[in-house]
Amino acid sequence: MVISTREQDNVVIFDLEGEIRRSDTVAVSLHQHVKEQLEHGKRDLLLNFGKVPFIDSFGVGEILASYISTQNIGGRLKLAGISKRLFLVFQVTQLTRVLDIQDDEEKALASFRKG
Amino acid sequence: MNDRTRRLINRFAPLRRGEERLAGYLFGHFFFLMAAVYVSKVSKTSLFLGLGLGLTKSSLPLVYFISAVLSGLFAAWNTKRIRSLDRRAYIAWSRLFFAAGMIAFFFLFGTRAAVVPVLYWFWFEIFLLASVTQFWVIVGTVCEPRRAKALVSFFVGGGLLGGIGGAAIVFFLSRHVPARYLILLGLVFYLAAMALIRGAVHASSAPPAETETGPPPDYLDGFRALGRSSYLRLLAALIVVSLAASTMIDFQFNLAVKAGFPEEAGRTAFLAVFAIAVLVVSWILNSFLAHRAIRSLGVRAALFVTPIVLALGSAAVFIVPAAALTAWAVLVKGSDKSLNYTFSQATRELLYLPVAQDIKAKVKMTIDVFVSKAGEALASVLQVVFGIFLAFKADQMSFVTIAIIVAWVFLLIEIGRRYLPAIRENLVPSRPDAERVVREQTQADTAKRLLDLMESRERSSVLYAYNLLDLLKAEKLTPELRQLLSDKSAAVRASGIDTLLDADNEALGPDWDEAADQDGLDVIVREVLALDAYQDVMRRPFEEVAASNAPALEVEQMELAKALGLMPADAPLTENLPRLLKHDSPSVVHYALESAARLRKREALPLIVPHLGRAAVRDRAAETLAAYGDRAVPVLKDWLADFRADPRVRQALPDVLAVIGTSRAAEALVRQLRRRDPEVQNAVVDALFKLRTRCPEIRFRERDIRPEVLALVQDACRAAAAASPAGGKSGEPGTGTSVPGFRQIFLLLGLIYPPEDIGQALQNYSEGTKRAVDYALELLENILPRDLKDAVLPVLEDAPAEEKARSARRILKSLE
Repeated sequence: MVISTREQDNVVIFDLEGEIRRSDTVAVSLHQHVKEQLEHGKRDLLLNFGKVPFIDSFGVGEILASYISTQNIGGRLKLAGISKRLFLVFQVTQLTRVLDIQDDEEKALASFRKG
Repeated sequence: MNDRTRRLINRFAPLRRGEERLAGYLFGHFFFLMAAVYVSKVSKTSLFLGLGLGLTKSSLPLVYFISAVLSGLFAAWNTKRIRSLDRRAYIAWSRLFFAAGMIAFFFLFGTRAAVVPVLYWFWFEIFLLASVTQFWVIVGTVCEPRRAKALVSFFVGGGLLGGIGGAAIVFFLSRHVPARYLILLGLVFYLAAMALIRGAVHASSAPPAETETGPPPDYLDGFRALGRSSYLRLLAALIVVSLAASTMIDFQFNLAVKAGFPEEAGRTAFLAVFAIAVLVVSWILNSFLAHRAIRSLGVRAALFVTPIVLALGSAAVFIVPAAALTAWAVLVKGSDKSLNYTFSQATRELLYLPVAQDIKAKVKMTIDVFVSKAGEALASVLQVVFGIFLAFKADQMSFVTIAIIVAWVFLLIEIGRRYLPAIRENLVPSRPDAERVVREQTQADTAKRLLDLMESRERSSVLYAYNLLDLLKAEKLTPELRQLLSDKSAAVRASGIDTLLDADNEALGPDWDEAADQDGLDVIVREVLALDAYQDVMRRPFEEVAASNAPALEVEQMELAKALGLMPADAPLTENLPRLLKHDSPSVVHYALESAARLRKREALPLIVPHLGRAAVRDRAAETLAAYGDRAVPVLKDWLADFRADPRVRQALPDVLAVIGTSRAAEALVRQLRRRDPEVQNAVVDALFKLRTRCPEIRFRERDIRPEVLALVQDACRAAAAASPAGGKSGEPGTGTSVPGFRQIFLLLGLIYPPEDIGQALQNYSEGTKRAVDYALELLENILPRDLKDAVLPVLEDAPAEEKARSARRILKSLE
């Protein structure tokens, strides 16, 4: 997995590319990237899964850990571009009650602006 | 102005270059204005008391009542007019009115008509209100708001000196000129003040606004806001009774002065000296004692100082000899004035803290204009009833005063009971703990299993079958999901399960009939795995698989790791688990950890802990250790204390102990806390607070936690004391969240005081806005015992760097 970050409209966007598997872990995990941005005072974060074809339970753990870290200091974390399969998993396990999932980056940024 | 002079002045006022002239004019204006006020005040009282004694006793209550009503109405009118009229014209006309008024009264007093002192009394109340209001309006007009705020104490100092100066001149002149001539002295001072304000306007660089912006005050709205809040009604009642008590004391004082100083000259001189003494004592109290006393007593206790002192003073009249009545009255009145200018005002302001800002703005004006006058009016009615109808003597009026003060005290007790709940209501609503929300409202574990299922379907039908079995057995599996996984009907396909598992019309699970079958299947599988014959037959193949380093066998190793968790803990094949726990592949380790959580073999613990340092399996390892429960604590405790161990492992361990949540786990964390190991200290504090909120039955001893709080306070104090005033922005308060270790201080306090309150206070403090920080600190002020308060609050409060450095050094010394 490759993680790159950029900022737009005061939102830090994490562009994730490649499969997210525990067997292919990177030196700095997604959660660590998120914590770094939170420590720099950023509060609005977007995880862009548009180029992620596969995610395993380790990846879900990273998403939830990022969500918890962001929420606990009053920030907002949103997800965009997740696959239909993953969305269904989140739906049947009620994770959609806590995770804010948007169709794409544009809608996600608009939802940040709406507040 | 040369630098030396500027430095001298800057010791008293934070003047900037270029604003010396303006500030000087405003200082001078307030000086002469207050001189005029005090000259007029002394002459007003002295001239009024020159009426016959009976007249004084019956006319005073009437004068109090009418001046309360008149000044209330005038204040309401003045506040509205000043916003809507052209300001310069308004101020010019009011100057003319008051100057002409002084001249008129000088001549009117010459007629010796009895009504003139009464009229002058009313005139003075309006003069005082209008002049002071106009001064602050002018300051707001010619100064920028931040500069006005910074210089307010400089101007007030000018007013104080002017009051003392004016009263001093009255004292010296009183023996030589009749009191009515002092009115002309007041006029001279007033004209000097007006001349200086012209200079201020010219010296100002800000264009003066012609009218005030913003809507006029709506007093009815203020009354409505009062009606809606029981706390505000209590506050209003408190102000009424405190002013009623003050007016009663003023009544007794005036009668005593009248009796003690029948001659005008002596009376005027005495009143001048009294005014000087009150101003000086108030200044000393305010500058050196009041805030310290409020800090050490706390707001709620400090509120009782004034009524108790006045009650004791009023009661003392029954034991002082008749000859000392005047001295008694002077002491009581002096105490009332001094305490009112210092303690009472400061503490009353703090009582407004729980009130939301927008409501406070509405209500305060209504209270200042109308409610406060109700106190004077109430006192005047009581004076008529007791003083005139029931013919109470001056000393007997103390009964009435004491009764009012008793009501005052009861109100304070009630306000005290409601103060903390009112503060709590205003704290920013507590954010729910996100981890708890995920745990209680979602099925995150099921989501992970579902994804493992999907992944395993691609890799191994055996692994897939194991995972499916596990998933179907999971307690929290919703009936819908269970149905989805085990039904191959068209309805299921239509529901999108195809998407979930790329099913393409296949059945996704076994063709089970009803839910009961998977339990039966599970039993069969376990029984087979437990058979001695199975254990014997499969020993060599499993050992070969477990020992292999060939990547091609990774899937079989995952299958083996999974299967081991279905065997009894004492099954010989489970001896392969340690090898799988040491595997390089995170996928193999993941399943091995899952099985380790089921088998819970003690010898596996040292192999599990290091995986806390591997991001890929950290969560799984933490869950496995938590599954061991209290049995894992001794091993975890040793790892935590070992400073040579992997820091990532050590930093993950406190959270595992918090999840285990037993008293042994809590003790292990506390023991580690006391070691003050910087590598893990933050993680330990976070874990302790988490444990406290998850397991409220676990209590922490104050003697264990308090030293750690004070250690953090000492660190913060050392940082503050070492901070260079030259490097920082002198005079600028440091923001609260820049205090090192503030979060840990709050979390540790949450171990020995209510964690919900402390957690909410932390959230407010972290928010960083002045109001949120004030609420947070006010809550701590009301929860913490005095010694902790004295150490913690100065560290957390916003204050200029120099002030913080001074408090820090004081705290460090006291903690030695």
